[in-house]
Amino acid sequence: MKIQIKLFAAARELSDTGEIGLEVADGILVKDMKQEISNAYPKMSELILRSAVSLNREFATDESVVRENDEIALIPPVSGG
Amino acid sequence: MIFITPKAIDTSKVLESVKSQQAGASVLFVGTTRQFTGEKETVQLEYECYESMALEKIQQLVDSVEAKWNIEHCSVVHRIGVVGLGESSIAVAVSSGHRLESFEAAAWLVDELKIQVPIWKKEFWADGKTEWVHPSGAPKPTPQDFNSAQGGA
Repeated sequence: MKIQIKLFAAARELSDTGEIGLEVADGILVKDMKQEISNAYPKMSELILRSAVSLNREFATDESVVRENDEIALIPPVSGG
Repeated sequence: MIFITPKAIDTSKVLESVKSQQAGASVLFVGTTRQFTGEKETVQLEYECYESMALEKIQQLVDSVEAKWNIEHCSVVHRIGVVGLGESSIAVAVSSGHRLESFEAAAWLVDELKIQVPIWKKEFWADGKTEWVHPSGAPKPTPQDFNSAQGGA
């Protein structure tokens, strides 16, 4: 399935884009999707290890299943306030 | 009142927004751009957010505050874009019948916002370098963390 992943802050700058598209297996787990992003964008690897993932604007776990039409974002450690 | 804005925050309006005749106390927290972090000098900060999720997460935190403390009102305003020295990046106001609830709720909300809400800041240092702040070793936001933040719901 084709998925789109929103990127922010350092992840956005390291990849030079606010959103990337990836072709992944149906029902991929969040942890495996993170590995696929790392493989495609090695510059982001270190940051991806420290980042969370959100699905439909809620934090996911490594074991969460990614669905085709999910709104997906990589959430590097936050620093608001 | 919950919003995210690229404009300067009018902190007096944020405080005004929690006024209530039932409140005997109002607390206003304002976060501002600090010039020195140890030896390092900041010239400005720039904030970025995942706006739709950030607004939902802030609303969840306000809902949690209302469930955990007996308060009257709670407002959160966060600025994005460039925030100069001494300018406000965030204002949180809470009102309650007595002061303890407002103090505790405001402190908790700001602590949780710094873990749960997808907003990021970039340091512009005086030596010309820039750096996104992605704290290592910080608590990771997860649904479990959020549930425990809500009191084990």
